[in-house]
Amino acid sequence: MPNRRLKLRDVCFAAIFALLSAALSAEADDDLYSQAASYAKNGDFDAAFMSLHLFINNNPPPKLAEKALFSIGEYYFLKSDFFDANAAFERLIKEYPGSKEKVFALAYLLKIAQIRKNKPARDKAENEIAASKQLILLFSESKQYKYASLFGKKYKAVYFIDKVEVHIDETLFTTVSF
Amino acid sequence: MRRFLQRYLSKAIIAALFLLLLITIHSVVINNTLENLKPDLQKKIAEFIRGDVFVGNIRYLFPACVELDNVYIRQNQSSLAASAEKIKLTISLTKLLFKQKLLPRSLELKKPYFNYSECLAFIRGNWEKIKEIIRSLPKDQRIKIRLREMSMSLPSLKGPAAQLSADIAIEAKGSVILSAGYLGLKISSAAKNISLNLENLRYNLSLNLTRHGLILDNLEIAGDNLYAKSWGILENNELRLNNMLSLGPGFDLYKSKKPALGRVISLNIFSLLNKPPSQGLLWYPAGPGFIDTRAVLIIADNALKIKNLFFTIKNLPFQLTGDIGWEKSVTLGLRLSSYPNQPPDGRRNNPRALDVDLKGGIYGNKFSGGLGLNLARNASGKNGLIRIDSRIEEALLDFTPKRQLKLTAKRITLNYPLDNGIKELVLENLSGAMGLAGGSIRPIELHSSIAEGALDAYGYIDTGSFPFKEGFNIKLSNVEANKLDAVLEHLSKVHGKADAQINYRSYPQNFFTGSADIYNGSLENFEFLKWLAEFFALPQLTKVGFERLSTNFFVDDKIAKLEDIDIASGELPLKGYFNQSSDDFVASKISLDIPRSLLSASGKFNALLGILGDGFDFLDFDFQLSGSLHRMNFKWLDSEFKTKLKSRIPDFIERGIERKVEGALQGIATPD
Repeated sequence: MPNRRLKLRDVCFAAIFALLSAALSAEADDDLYSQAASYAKNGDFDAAFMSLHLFINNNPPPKLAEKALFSIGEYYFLKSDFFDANAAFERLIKEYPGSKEKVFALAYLLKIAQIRKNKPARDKAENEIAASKQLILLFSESKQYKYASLFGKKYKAVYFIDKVEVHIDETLFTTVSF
Repeated sequence: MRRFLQRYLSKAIIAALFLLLLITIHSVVINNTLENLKPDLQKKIAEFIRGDVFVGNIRYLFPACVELDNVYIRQNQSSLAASAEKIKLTISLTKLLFKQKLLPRSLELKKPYFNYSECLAFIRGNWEKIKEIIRSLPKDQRIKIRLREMSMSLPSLKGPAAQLSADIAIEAKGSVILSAGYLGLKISSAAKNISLNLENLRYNLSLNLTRHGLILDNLEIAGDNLYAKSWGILENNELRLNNMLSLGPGFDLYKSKKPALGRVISLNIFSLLNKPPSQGLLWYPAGPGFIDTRAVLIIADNALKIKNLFFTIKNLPFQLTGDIGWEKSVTLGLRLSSYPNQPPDGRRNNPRALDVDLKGGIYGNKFSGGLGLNLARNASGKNGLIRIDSRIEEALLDFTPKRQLKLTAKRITLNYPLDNGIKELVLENLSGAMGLAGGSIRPIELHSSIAEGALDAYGYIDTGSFPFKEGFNIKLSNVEANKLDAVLEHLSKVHGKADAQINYRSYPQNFFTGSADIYNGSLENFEFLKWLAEFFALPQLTKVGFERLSTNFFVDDKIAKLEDIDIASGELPLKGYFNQSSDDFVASKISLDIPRSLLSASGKFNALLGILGDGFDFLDFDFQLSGSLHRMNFKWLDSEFKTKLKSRIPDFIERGIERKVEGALQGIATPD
């Protein structure tokens, strides 16, 4: 009789412990993300990057992971570390193909391919940008999609019938004509 | 002293007169004997060769020479196999006197004539006897043979007449045979305007007969702008032969002596002890007009197996392998490859690498069989080998009086890869010609039936570089459009009779350009029409009939363009252009005049008509399409109809319509 009661108690404790751990872990992840956002808001991009790096390798929730990966890529690009930037954006597109950051990640990949003079990669990025949205323009001349990154940059993709323009902070970043 | 001389001089004169009398009597007696023996001799030779022999005169010349005049040999009733104006046979006097053996020392033929086919048949039929005679000749006896002003008629196969003339000296001792002399080759046909005259070719030959064949030590032929050299070995049926051919000055016979015409050619048999290094040229020129070959051939009675034949032309290496048979008809199974020793990966990227397979037979005088081609092709950065196969029925090659090579064929079927499939194109009643006169640019014309209509093509092949460059102007008349899907896949969806003018060039890359008109036909299941049918909710738009469709086009490896499209149709008149790139990106503008009656059947757009009222019979819709073929972007361009519509509906309704249409169209975009 005492052994049975012990077992039941152990199971209950284990369950409560697991739930608490998960909650604490999620909270810890969210903390890392929030921490990164806070650092970014204060302009401490290096610290923000460190937090995001820890966050992304801890099985993060998809919605936040997309933003985190994109910002990691942004950070590497700003530091002219094109190899790691390329890897981060490629990972974002591969793991989250429906993300709203995709077209902007493709724009960065295009830019990196142009810098490295990599024609196959450049052609691939251009084709993917051109095919990224199916456009129906009945009464309007273009459609716009906007996005704000964790580091506070404002992105805008403008789709015309024969080209796509990507702007960062109201400055034209790249144009793909087709 | 004077008396001594007088006594012996008179005796000497008497002795000489006596000797002369003896010789004369001796000659007369022998000549009479020979004249009596002539019929028997003719009969014995006739039996040996199984033919007819005629000898004009036979006479003995002191001390050991027999001459025959006007000798004719026929193997069958109608044709002359061989003849000679004079045959002179000299016997070895020493062998006769000291060993009582009748052995030939020299044989001279003046103006001999040989019929190649008859002689070849004779040699084949009597080869064992001939070998026996050669073997029976004494090994230590030198024999000379001389053929002065020889001529030989070569087989014509109903083609131009060919004649070989020669002045030949042959010396044989034991198994060694040396020969030198002059050759001339003449080919002429007034009907075909062909003539070839190679005169004054000098040659040297040395070969050893062996138990199982022979060793060709050296065969050289030299002319003004020609030098050829061969050496090799024939053992049992296997022939290993090396050859060199130079078309141009710079080479001459290895033996520097050039025998003057008419002078006796004298060869020192003992020079064989110090063999000339004929096989070891110090340098090998590799310029144009120089061909170097090595061959291993297996020779059978009715077949030749080419184990391999390597040769180079203009520094390009080639290999020929295969079989040729001629038992009842000529059969061929041959492969010609360039860069044969290059690894497969290298050949795939080498635009000069090709394989040509020829398999079939010549029946009557026409070839039927297959011709296959492997080509390395670089299209849009993708390398690979493509295979083109053809089946050929009753093809005939001939020469025309205009110095053209003419080809006719009952049917040629081409199979080749296109758009991830294998396509078939059939040409019937084909006739073509290629000019051969001078230069590297060969004019070509081709006429044939194709797709229930006619094809006429005029163009050229520039053989000055490899791969060759081609250019053609092609006219198609009254062809069934959808039977040309082997040329352009989209044509499988186009029905109607078509006329087209096409220009093709293979350089700097392959491209077609031209125009086409199609009459009284229809377009069915075009991707664009399917999209249009979905957009307007009008399923009947997947098939559009027309009275006339005309378009200009341009196609290369990167893009296919249809420009100035004009469809005259009571159902759906259309103008515009449609371009599609090799990676399936589209750029297009289309202008439609949709009958109001058709649009009223659309559940989607019926409501719009209500807004517009009854003031329109045709509604002009101008579109622009772009993006991926399978997810095309669509923009409705400005038009009178659109302007009127915009003026009658508020902005929020515009946005609502756009969202609805967007939602509907995004369900359409399913890739093939």
